[in-house]
Amino acid sequence: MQASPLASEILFHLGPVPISRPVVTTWAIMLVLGGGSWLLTRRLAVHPDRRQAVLEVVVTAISGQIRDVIGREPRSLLSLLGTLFLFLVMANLSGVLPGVKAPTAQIETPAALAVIVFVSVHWYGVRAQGLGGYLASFARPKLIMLPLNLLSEVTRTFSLMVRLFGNVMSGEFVIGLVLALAGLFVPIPLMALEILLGLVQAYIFTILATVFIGAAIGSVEKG
Amino acid sequence: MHLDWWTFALQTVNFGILVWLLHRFLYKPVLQAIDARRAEIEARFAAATTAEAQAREALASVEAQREGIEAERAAALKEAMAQAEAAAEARRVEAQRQADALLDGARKTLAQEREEALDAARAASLDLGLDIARRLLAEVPVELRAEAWLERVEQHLAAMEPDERDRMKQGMGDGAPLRAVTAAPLPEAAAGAWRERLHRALGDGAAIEFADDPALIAGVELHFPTSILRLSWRSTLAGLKAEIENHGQPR
Repeated sequence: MQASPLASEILFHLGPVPISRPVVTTWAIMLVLGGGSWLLTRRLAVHPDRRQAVLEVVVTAISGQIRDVIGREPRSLLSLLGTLFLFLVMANLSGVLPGVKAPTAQIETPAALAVIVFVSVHWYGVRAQGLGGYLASFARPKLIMLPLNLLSEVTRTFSLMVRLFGNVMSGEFVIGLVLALAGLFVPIPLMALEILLGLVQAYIFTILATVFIGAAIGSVEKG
Repeated sequence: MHLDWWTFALQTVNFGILVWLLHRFLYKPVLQAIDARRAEIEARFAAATTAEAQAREALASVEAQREGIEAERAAALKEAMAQAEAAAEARRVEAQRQADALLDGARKTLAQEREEALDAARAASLDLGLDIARRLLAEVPVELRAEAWLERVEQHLAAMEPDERDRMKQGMGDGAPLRAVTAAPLPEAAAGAWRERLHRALGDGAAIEFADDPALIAGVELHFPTSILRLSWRSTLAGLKAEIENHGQPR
């Protein structure tokens, strides 16, 4: 019996813990992002060189996007949302590399990210409005909206997960099928499209997470 | 669809670790660098603002000093002008005083010279008149001149108060003669007429002598024992000369 292509491939075990391919790929991404950040930020100065200027452009661009969405100082959200965006970019684009499968093409990684966003939304909401105020926000504008609001919290998290997973997974499937059917260089345009798609999905996931958190802390209108 | 919960859990943990890693090694250092640069810019801006304020204060101070210098200069100019005007006024007053003194001196000198010239002219005219009179008298016969002067003596004696005439005749009764002095010697006939008419005017007992003195020029002088009646031109000219010497007008 052939294994499901949607199932995560177990590479090895650490004791009782199975280590799947997405986990290993994520470790590699963590190593690249963490190690790269450590290397690039070792000698920052008040007067930046080209390397530092690029880093500052990346950080201030992400920070500016968050500020534009939530309309307030973004530093408290920068670590979570900035990491989310950078990780998604790296994860989505890693599928383009030969022999590497994007972690976001497996349901566990988008699910983990969606759950993290779900938890973060409520944590920031409670921290900003207090527990009572935050829970009361689910009954607005009318009490009758409470079930729908609660349901939407689950469904939007689910849609967040499925959107990312579906797009990345389907892109990789299409490339694999075309590669199998047409030959070596035919999928290249599709790979370029996959790169664009990965960037767009990273942006959409991050922006939606920002909007959800902004709505939870009261700076963005719920809807 | 199968969900590998181990993978799900590991990916959740992995993402949490990645958030910490990037916060520690990316966001925090970069934001600190940006904050440091912003602080430096703000410090420089504050320093520039302070320097600008100091420059404005210095400029205001310089402006105030310049205004003070202007006021001091204006005051000095005003004082100098006042001193110059005072000095000019003093010099003008002194010049006016000196000019007045010079003018006064000149006027005095001119008046003195005019008086002296007038005196000299008067003296010259007197001498000229005297000379003319002498020449004219020389052409008149001595008898006529004696007759005229005799009438003049008679009129004078007749016009005198009796007391005054008596005081004049005092001493004549003791034999002291009356001496009649004329400018030219009287002829015998004229002398007789003089003696007769003087006896009639002064009394018969008077002794009369005649003498001549050309210095009289014309006229006669009656020398009484205690007084002299001068009716000669010499006495008249002496009076005129005295008036001329006193810068007076001739009577």
